[in-house]
Amino acid sequence: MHHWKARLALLSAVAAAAAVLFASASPSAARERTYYVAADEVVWNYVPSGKDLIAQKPLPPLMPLQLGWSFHKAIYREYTDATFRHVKPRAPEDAYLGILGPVIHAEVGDTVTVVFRNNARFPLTVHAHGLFYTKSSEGAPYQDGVSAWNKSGDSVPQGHTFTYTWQVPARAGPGPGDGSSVVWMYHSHADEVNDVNTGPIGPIVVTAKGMARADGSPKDVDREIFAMFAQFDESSSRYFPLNIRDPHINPRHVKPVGQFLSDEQLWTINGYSFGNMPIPAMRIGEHVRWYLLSTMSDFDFHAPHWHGQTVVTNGMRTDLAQLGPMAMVVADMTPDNPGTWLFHCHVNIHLAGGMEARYQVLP
Amino acid sequence: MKWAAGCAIVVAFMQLLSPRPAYARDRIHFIAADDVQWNYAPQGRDVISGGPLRPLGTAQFGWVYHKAVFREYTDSTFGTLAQIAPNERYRGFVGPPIHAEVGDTVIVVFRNRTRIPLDIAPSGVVSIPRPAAVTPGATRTFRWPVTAANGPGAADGSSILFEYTSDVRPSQDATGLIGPLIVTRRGSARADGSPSDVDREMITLFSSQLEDQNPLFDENLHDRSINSRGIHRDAKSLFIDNAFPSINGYVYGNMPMPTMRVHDRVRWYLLTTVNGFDGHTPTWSGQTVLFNGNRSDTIGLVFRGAVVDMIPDDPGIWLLTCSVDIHLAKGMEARYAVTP
Repeated sequence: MHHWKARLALLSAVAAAAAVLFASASPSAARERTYYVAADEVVWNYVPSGKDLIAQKPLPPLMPLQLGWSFHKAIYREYTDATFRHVKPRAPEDAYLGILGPVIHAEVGDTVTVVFRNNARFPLTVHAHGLFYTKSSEGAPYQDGVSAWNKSGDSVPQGHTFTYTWQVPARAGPGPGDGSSVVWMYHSHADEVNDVNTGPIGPIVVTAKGMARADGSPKDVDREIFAMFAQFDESSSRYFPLNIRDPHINPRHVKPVGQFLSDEQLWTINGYSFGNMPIPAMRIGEHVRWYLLSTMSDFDFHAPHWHGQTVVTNGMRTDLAQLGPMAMVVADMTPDNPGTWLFHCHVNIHLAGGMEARYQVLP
Repeated sequence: MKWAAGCAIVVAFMQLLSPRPAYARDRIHFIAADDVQWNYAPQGRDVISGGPLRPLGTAQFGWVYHKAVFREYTDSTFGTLAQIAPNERYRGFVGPPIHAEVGDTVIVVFRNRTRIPLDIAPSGVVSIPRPAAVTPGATRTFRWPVTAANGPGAADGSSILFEYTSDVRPSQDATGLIGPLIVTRRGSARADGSPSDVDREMITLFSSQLEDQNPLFDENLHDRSINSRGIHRDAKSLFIDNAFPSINGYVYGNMPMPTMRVHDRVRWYLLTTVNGFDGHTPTWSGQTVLFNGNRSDTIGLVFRGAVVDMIPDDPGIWLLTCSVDIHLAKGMEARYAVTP
């Protein structure tokens, strides 16, 4: 055991040295990409139009124990700089990203720095999938043999800022069976089960070395689209007690009963239900890459289905992808059929719950 | 019974006497189904959070249950358990790994030392004779010839994963009786059958163990050392409170922590079971894996297993969890260590 502890004491130093090696071994093209990301408290409306835009009719009536369609949530938002004064505006063509945090791009060999400000009332973190991090940048508290001084990124209190540094070695990029880029998620991991239902989650794209534009996106792709299929369980959100208390959220003064609150499940794409997602547009003949994500619920088994076009995923042609919990899947499309098309989950109860959106192909 | 065991010994001798090509070994395993008292949380605490275990569910017997499991013995007397190296103890109640190179024949001398009829049935390969219930106390010998049709396909790595289970009551016997059968491509195996291009093989079972389905359920119900709270069989939440989404039969980080080294070629064999509470997503922190040529750190196991490869580069103690929230909330999490 002693032997072990001695080894563990060296781990951070060794990992830091490894990080330096990665940096120095990369050619001069390697970039350091810095993102200023805050967790902000918002009132999130899953159906901002107040209508079912797919069927052009009223929303279904609230379930008996459903608080409503709007909830207090914490979401990641990008800021222009370290002052965290100005939210970086999202381009109109990216409005469909909805509840997703900013897209973080990197090329193999880069270093990603996320300056994280927690403006939410609960301790939150930023935990990256796939990228190389030392223990101090893992953003996940558990018994990992690391001393407390090296764990401040594991729980960032309200009003505090922490800087996470992630390396992007080849093993964070595409494998031999992948295209020019792969997708990962980042999310809060202070209280893993409940944090994701609370809202802070976003995508990371890693592009193969030599395949990236200056902004890190893959050169051989004209349009990147992100779609997160999520069963948000509002009864597991860390704001649930607040949501129950707040008459703006819970005007009917519903009182929660029972252990499983099935009425608080929202079936969403990028945080929107019943076609309320802003419609992303693309052009015929473009190389469109869809990055498909899902969250952690036991019902997060989804079958995203595109009307109007086909995609290729893992070298196979299909018009229907398969997602399990925490899935990260890439599908490539070359649209050839103009129009406004349905994009929805084919699981019947999810579809009935509003897990549907539209996308548009321009001639 | 004695005849069968004797037969196996004769086969073993014949193997020693006759010179045979390296690619056609007989691999003999002496495997018993044993009734053990299995503890899902032997450390008695939540090793991930560092805090106490969660309180028992209303109808939960406890953390310890009688289970029938596969265990390997040194010979046909079934007197001595095969040794398990300290760095292999993380395998928990999962049966011993059975390796075969294409061309080999696996010979399993199976003794049922429990009080219920059980068998040992492989997936992916033929069993001669066909698996059939072995009565309590009896011993039978099965041959599993492994042909190229059972080996890795063109897109597979050097080895693939099947399983062996008891399938007398398929939905119930999986509450303990499961182990890995690993088939390596001809010419790609070490003498022990493991793939020669892999430094460390990791065996994990992601399973929601449903103790209300355990074939030894009645034994657990009536054993006051197991059911000390006197839970009744009609208790309302019996199913959910005695369901253990677990990794190798451990919850809340109680799995002994396996170690591997930076730059080892590590192959993870991910087993799963098939019940309505299964459907798991093994997720590693700290490293990534390759699955079918795709880079990932999360693998969907929906009623079938998977093989993934990892070359660790990030030293430390890391999480291996299921990402399904209700499984994670019930302790489906473990740790693994990467040493520099």
